[in-house]
Amino acid sequence: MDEREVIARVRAGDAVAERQLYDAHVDRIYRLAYRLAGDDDLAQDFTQETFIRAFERIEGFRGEAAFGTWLYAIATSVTLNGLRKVKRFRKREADLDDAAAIGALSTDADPDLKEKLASAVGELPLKYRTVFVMHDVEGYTHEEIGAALGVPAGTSKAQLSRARARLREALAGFAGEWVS
Amino acid sequence: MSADRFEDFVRRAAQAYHRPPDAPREQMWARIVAARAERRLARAARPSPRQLWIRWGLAAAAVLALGIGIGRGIGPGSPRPSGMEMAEAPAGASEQVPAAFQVAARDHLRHVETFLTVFQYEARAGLAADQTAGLARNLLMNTRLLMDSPAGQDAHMAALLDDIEVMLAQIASYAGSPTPADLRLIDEGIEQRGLLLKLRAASPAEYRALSAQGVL
Repeated sequence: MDEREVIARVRAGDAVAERQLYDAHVDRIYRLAYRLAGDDDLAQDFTQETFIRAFERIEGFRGEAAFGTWLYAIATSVTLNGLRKVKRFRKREADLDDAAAIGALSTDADPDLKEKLASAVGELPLKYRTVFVMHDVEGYTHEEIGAALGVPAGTSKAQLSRARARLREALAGFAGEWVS
Repeated sequence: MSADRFEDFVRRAAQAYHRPPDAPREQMWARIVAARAERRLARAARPSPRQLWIRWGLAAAAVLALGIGIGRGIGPGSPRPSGMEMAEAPAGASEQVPAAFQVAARDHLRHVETFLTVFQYEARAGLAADQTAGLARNLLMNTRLLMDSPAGQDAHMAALLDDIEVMLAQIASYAGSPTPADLRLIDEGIEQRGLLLKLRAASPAEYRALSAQGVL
């Protein structure tokens, strides 16, 4: 069934159509929330809130963009706001990661590049990390990212470029890994 | 070092970054349905601004009438002060309206105490009265009116009204058919907050006796 038809049925209060719309998008929303939050409980909370808001506001969806794009905009807004709320907790966590990474590098006892990459991604500012995860990890286009974050596609490209530069800097000690 | 190689490497390696498990679809859907139902109920329980004004106006009028009635009832024993006496009275001596609000608040607390006592009994007996949610909504509305009134400016009263609001909102939200687990949770909440004890402490014994005799 055409998604526009499903949306029309959701607007008319059809619970089955709501479930159809949920099934069509929930995996991608949850994946993104999980990638950004790194925590199952938070990812579930953000996913749930995304759909609750989407169903509440579906009257305002004008159909100018794809429904998925509109939904990703809600999802990123919910997730980023949610992550800012737990920023203090995250900062503490990041500080612990920093301490662990510094210790590991100084003794050269942490050869695991993937772990170092994960740590470096986690240390990126939220806006860079969001673009990096959406583009390089989840495969969103810059147009989709721009629409979701409410910025031009060019801004998304610029932020990805800066995110990669920071990662390259953080992983300089492992240059041999990708050069070879 | 090649930028392309680095990008390829990062893309491959980053797939392991916060690798998500399968989405718990059913679990999340159940919570979405429950949360939406709860929000709908909360919205339905919340009076519209117009209703709020009308009810607030009626409540204020009733409270004022009660205050005036009390004043007149006490009046004959104490002669009306002259203008000079009133002018010389210390600031804050004229507290007829706040006193009236206090009376209204105590009256409301007594109703809430009765309601919660009955609710606890029914919850423990596994009974779920049909009118429980409706009564809770009415009391919730009056609680909110009081919270916004001068009575709610007293820190002690405000804290008590806050506690009452939370419990009544929970009871009001189970409008359909609360499960025994729901009832037990609310019952535990009342106990944990020591709400009935606080309510009893907030109503002086002489007032309770007068109320019981129909004087107030």
